[in-house]
Amino acid sequence: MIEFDNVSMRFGDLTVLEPFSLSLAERRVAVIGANGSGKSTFARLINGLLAPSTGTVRVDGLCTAKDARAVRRKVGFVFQNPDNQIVYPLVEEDVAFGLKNLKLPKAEIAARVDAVLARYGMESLRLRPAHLLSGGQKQMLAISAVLVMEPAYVVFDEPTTLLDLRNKRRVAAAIAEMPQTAVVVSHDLEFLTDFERVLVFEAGRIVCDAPPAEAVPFYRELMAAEAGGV
Amino acid sequence: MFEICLTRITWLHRIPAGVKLFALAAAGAAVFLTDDVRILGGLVAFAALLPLSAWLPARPLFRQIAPALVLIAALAAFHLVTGDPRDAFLVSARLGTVILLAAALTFTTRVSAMVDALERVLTPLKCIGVDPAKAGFTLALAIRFIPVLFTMIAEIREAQRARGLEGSVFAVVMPLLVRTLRMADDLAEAIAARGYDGN
Ligand SMILES: Nc1ncnc2c1ncn2[C@@H]1O[C@H](COP(=O)(O)OP(=O)(O)OP(=O)(O)O)[C@@H](O)[C@H]1O
Ligand SMILES: [Mg+2]
Repeated sequence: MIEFDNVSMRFGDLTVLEPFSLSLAERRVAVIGANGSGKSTFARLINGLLAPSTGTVRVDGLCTAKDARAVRRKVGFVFQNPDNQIVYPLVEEDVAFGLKNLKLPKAEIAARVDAVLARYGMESLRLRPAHLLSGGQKQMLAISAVLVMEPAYVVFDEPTTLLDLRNKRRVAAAIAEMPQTAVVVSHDLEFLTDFERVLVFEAGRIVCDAPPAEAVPFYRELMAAEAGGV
Repeated sequence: MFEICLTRITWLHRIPAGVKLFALAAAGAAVFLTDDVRILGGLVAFAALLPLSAWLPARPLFRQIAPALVLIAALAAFHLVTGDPRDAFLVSARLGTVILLAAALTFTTRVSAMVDALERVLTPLKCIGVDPAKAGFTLALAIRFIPVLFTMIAEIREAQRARGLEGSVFAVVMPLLVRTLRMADDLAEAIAARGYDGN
């Protein structure tokens, strides 16, 4: 369970998130909203990459500000641009990176890397240099490198924005079938249809919190109204 | 750039990474400490035979060393023009040795193995404040991001060419600076998100 208790976020004088309280217990939560509305900031609060200006964020009771290290082991994070999160030159080395930090035995690392690469159909890429992969393959690598850590939650910040339609579908399918709880920030509305809950952000506020059947039309209308007003 | 060949394991692959790194460092020091033409000739010949002896794939190997060969040719030409064939040989043999050996190393050694070896070597220096894990990680990141940087330069140059700004160094350097700084930020965040906190 992810709990926001009276959380707000400011950068200097700029208020990016107005105070809100919220708890997320659904397995699939989507976050949508205009550029600059505060989605990424919201996502970063969940795994302690950002500490809230006021209030507390808890994941399974752990405070993200005080127990950042434990929270990060529990919550994986996948970014929009895989180029910025792949740290090792070789696919299998990169997947092993986080496990090595945990100082796990070599045999266990190898077994877990094998399992994750097999699961996402990437065995044939394991000895490839990461910089030669396609965009979709890179994002699948980034996702594998997060899932190999076996987090209980995974936050995705626009995981499909840079991908073509086929790779968008591949990534969406991988997210759909993960056993983990996922919070997904996305502009790809078509992938949200089987999510349980959608949060719509607008200028630092959550303006709609509903299942997709209600939230997506609300968001479309919101965007259309603004376009009309300009 | 920093390709590795793991499709076929050769005798060069089997030598421990630490030994190869040490040999490269030793050869690097040796070529700059001697100016004996025979020794340098021997070293560069050895360095050229090494990849051949392991049948490393020629084309990717050549692609990797080609930019350095251009540089060597330019330096050699400079020395020849200024009338010093011996210097031309010395500079080509020195750089040639190091570049060939470095290529043989990167072609047959995983970065993670090099990082582990470096960490082991640096462990005794902990008492004077060196952090072996950080040093190793820095090496891994450098190797990972050099190709990314080259791709970025190529993209920016292409974009500037499309705008007719191909002559301007500034038009390449500015976006490159902005993008690398942003990338560094994103990377630091991604590394934190992956549970690495410098210990
Ligand atoms: N580190 C920071 N310092 C100052 N301002 C920031 C910082 N991070 C974000 N902001 C500002 O906070 C606001 C919300 O940013 P955020 O990245 O959360 O938006 P977003 O909804 O993810 O937008 P996008 O769809 O473009 O990704 C923006 O106005 C942004 O400029
Ligand atoms: Mg964002």
